[in-house]
Amino acid sequence: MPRSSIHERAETGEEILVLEEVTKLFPIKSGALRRTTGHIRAVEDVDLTIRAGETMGLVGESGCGKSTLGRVAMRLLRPDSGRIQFRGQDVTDWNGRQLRELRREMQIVFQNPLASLNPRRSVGDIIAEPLKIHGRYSDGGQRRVEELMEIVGLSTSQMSRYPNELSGGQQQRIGIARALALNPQLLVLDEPVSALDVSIQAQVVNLLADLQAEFGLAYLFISHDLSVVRHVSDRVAVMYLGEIVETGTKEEVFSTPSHPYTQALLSAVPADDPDKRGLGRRRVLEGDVPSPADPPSGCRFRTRCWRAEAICEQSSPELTIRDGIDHPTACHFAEIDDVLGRLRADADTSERTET
Amino acid sequence: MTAVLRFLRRPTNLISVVILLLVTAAAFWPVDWLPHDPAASDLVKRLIPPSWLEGGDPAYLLGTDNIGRDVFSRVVYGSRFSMLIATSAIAISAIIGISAGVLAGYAGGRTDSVIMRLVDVQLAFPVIILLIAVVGVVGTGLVPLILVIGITGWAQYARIVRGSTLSIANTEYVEAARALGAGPIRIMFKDVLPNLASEIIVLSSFGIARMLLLESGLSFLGLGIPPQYPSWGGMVGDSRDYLRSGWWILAFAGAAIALTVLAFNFLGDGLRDSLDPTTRARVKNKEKAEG
Repeated sequence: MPRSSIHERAETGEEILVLEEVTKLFPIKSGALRRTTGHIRAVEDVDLTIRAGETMGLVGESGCGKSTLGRVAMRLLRPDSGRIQFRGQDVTDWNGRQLRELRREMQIVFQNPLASLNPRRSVGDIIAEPLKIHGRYSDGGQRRVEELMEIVGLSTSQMSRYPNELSGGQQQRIGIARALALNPQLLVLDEPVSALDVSIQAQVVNLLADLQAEFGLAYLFISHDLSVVRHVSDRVAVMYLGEIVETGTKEEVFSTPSHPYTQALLSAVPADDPDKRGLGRRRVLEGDVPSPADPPSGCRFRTRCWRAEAICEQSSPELTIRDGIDHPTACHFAEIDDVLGRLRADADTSERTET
Repeated sequence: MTAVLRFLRRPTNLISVVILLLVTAAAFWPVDWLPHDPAASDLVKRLIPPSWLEGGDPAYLLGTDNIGRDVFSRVVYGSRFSMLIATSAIAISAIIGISAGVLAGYAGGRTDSVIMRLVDVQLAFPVIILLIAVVGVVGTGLVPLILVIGITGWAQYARIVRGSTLSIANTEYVEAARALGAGPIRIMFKDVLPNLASEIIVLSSFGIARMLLLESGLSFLGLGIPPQYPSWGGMVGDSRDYLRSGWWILAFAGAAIALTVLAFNFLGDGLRDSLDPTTRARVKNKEKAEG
């Protein structure tokens, strides 16, 4: 592979970030001696590819390892095994100066906008920080800060305000401006709208879409909100207990879901029309997510799956393309079930029978 | 400016500031301007009660001590030694303690363990014993006293600062700074320290109070500064034999210690409320609600 500079901007559609069999474990320490007695298997054997200019949606329940995967992808955490490539270069073992260079190309926006902003620093100071860290502030940094504030829709008069004086939506815009300051190629968006009011969510989602179009950004959009993911993503990966169970284009995953977990998730999406809510046959999962410290043998989903059989306990299904399904799925009994379409149809029929 | 006015609108803050200004003025007051030479004894005029009491002498506002020295002049003159020792000592404690605490909290791992075990050793070691040892080796003096109580005070700082650093190090804004490529030193100075500011101020106000008391205690035991310097603690110590015949010697020096200690504590509380941006908003709202 030619060793091109990571700073060279990728053409739309080029692979910019590739994760291969990435695993991240967190040690569990207990006892007076703080000995490691086990591991939280937060992310296990995950493959993920993000292309320039596209949005990769990552969905899953709380605690399934989405955020950890985002941080590993950014090299904020070091994976325990597996490789991470950025623009064709293996960045898995980079540190110090090299990581600083990588930071210019990959940035993150956090879930809680207020918590991600230092309460003691003014808005202008926060947005200027990345420029100062990378020694670009002295050369027209002030103008760049003003420009960034305009790009994200903040008024430059708010420059000397403090984060807690602004609204949640404005705070998230500061976080986005800061992430954009170094002109990165990839943004990891870790639940960027979950903490916001619904009306503000739409504004921020639209802002993100505009920015993507304008700067050719790639997004790793992490969320538990399926409707938001469906709205913003080009491709989607569904995560359960540290593993990706199904992945494909948005249409493939949302219209032809083949993994039982994806189907269960989709069946929980509220209907578009409030009058039709509660009419469709929902797939309600029973039980809790097992502890990631001690995941089930074989398929991790089997303890809550209505299709589980003996084989699920013995062998872990690989994430591959299976018969009759056009995208990778990790289930021994994968079968397409257009949950959303069926729910809509159900709702229509029951409506008809009622009236 | 409005922040200062808002700060002073609270009565406890205002009173504390006034007391501390008086103490500071006393500390800088020229010796020649005092009504009497604080060191001049006059055995004819020993144990005169305060001027407003029976037998008092208008020339001696707060009376005289057992060898006829003016108590008022000595209390005023003594403030400079008490304040000098307390503030210098706390500055030394703060510099060592904050550095150690931030380093332990942010670096973690082995660095953390080593520093915190040193803290344990320091806290387990009685300051008085250490000071007796130092006095035994170098003799009493202003500088050894400041150094000893200053250096021994670092552990309190280190422990509390480490705790706060740990919680700050886990915030998203520190993670954001790391994601931006900031190095550990930059994060410690730009993100951790500014967010420790209110805590450090509160700690220091309590710390000065503690140092004042420690100095008083040591001077009381005769381990403080040499007797020719009338520090407040030394005055309390010297007067303990005259509690029945001349209570005022002890009372005014003791009152000076108590008031100054209290004022520092209230000042710290007030500053914390007005410096912390989250409580600042709350105080503002409260004031708005009160009209």
